[in-house]
Amino acid sequence: MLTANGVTKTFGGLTAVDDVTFEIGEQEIVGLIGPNGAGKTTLFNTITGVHPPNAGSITFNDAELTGMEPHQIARRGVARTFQTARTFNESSVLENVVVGAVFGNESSPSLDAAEDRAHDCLEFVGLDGRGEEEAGSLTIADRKLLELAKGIAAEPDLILVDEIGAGLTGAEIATITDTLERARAERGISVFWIEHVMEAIMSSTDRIIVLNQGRKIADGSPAEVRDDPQVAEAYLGGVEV
Amino acid sequence: MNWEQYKIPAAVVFLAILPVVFFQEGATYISRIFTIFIMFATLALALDVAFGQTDQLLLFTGGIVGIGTYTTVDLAASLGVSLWATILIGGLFAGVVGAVVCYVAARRQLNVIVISILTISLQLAMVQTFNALRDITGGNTGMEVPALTAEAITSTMGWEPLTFLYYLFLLLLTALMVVHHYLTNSKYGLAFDMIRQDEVSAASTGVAVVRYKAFAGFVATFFMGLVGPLYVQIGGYATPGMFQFATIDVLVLIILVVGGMRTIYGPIVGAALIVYVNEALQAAQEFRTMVFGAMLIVLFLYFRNGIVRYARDLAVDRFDLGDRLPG
Repeated sequence: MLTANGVTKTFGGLTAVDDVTFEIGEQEIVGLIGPNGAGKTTLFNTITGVHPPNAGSITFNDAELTGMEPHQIARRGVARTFQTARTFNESSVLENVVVGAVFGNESSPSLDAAEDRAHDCLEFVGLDGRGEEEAGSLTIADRKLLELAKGIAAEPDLILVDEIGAGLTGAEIATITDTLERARAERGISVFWIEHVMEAIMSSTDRIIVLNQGRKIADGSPAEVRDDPQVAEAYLGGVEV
Repeated sequence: MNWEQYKIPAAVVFLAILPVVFFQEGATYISRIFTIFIMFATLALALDVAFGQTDQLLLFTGGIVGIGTYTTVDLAASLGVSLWATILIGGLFAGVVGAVVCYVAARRQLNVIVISILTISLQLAMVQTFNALRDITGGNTGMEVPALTAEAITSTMGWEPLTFLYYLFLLLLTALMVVHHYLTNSKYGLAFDMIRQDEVSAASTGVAVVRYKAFAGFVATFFMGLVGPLYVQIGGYATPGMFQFATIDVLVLIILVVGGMRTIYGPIVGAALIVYVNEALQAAQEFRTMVFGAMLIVLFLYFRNGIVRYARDLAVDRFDLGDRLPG
């Protein structure tokens, strides 16, 4: 569904993403890990059009994404969440999700239809009954769930999730992980997931891609990746021994 | 709430009654002030579409009003038709100028400060240009403007020219209120809200940020452009000085902020207050700029929500308080 071929992104003299090639299939949950500064978020930004790649191609459902604006890419079915949940905090919880339903895809539903869909998505992530609250008043964990609800409301084929577990308790991470797995199982959404919380990503992904210094160094099942000496070195190498 | 749908009719009825109560035959001083009041209310509500809704601080209201004026008046003169025939073209041209500026600013991702610097520079350049284009504007000394009249209406109603002008402004303001209401209660309003809060997040949700900002800029400057030919009817002439930052923008900005952004009543309340203060300060002209400058600073520091929002919050607080108190 998503195919990246030789994607490279440089900032000045720094190569943040270096000739990365990978694929994400239908209804697949793929983890993206790597030490700090490995280029994970930059890779997300090349996919979503925030920082278009300098070289390489990214196709999604057979359409070339490079050269498209971020909103066009979103409307084609690629939703995303941010490292620091970027909810619209002055707006209500419901409005946050309605935005996803209205603008997140080509169908452009009416406001009423979008509201129905938003209620359904709030229920899906367990925030039902809280639609009238101001988004800014929610806890971090709930705002992350809200961002997820907003993404799901767009009825995407793929959702990019950037460190959704950061700063959450074990129980909160379990809720989020469960929600992502259900999104795949019940709504057929593929998940491409950056995470530092290893337990979460090891137990619930089909496949893990490892980046180090902008390069892809591993791509395989969680077990394969865990046993990969290059991966171990990348992680341990980052630690002062 | 039901009240919502009566908001605009209530305002229109109230504004329509004012001339009946206050305008007197021969007392043009009073009717002039009321006409200036409703004009500034219109300009402030127009600015709200750009600044209040999408955080684009446009500081060239005066210049845009000038563009609308000169386009309408000069086109009418060269075609040998009345201003009625060209006023819409003047508005559209002003709107296109505004849309282009907002499009470029959004495209270049200029933040609110940079777009304000850009537009204030354009404002200065526009007035300079008006001064220089003597053939079109009459230069420093200005030019006379043909009257915008409708004999049939004024004679039937027994209106004086300023009364007619006032109702013309009311018509324009009503149209703007309807547009404002429609925009803020539709997908546009939803997009505006999100763009104002977080452009990157809005774009990644699928909102075409650039298009919505350019559109908001178009609506705002289109109405400003339409105000132009009406504005110059008050004195029957137009000079470049009438479109200066200090003459138009300062007041419009204070009115919008003091009255309350993102409200329909805010610009009306703000305009009533500020036009009154402005008149009261006529005797002390040398302090006028100082007073308004100080006001602008204080407002932006401490009172960004404006009177209408402040009153609404107060009412809600009182209401809640009432609920909590026994008896």
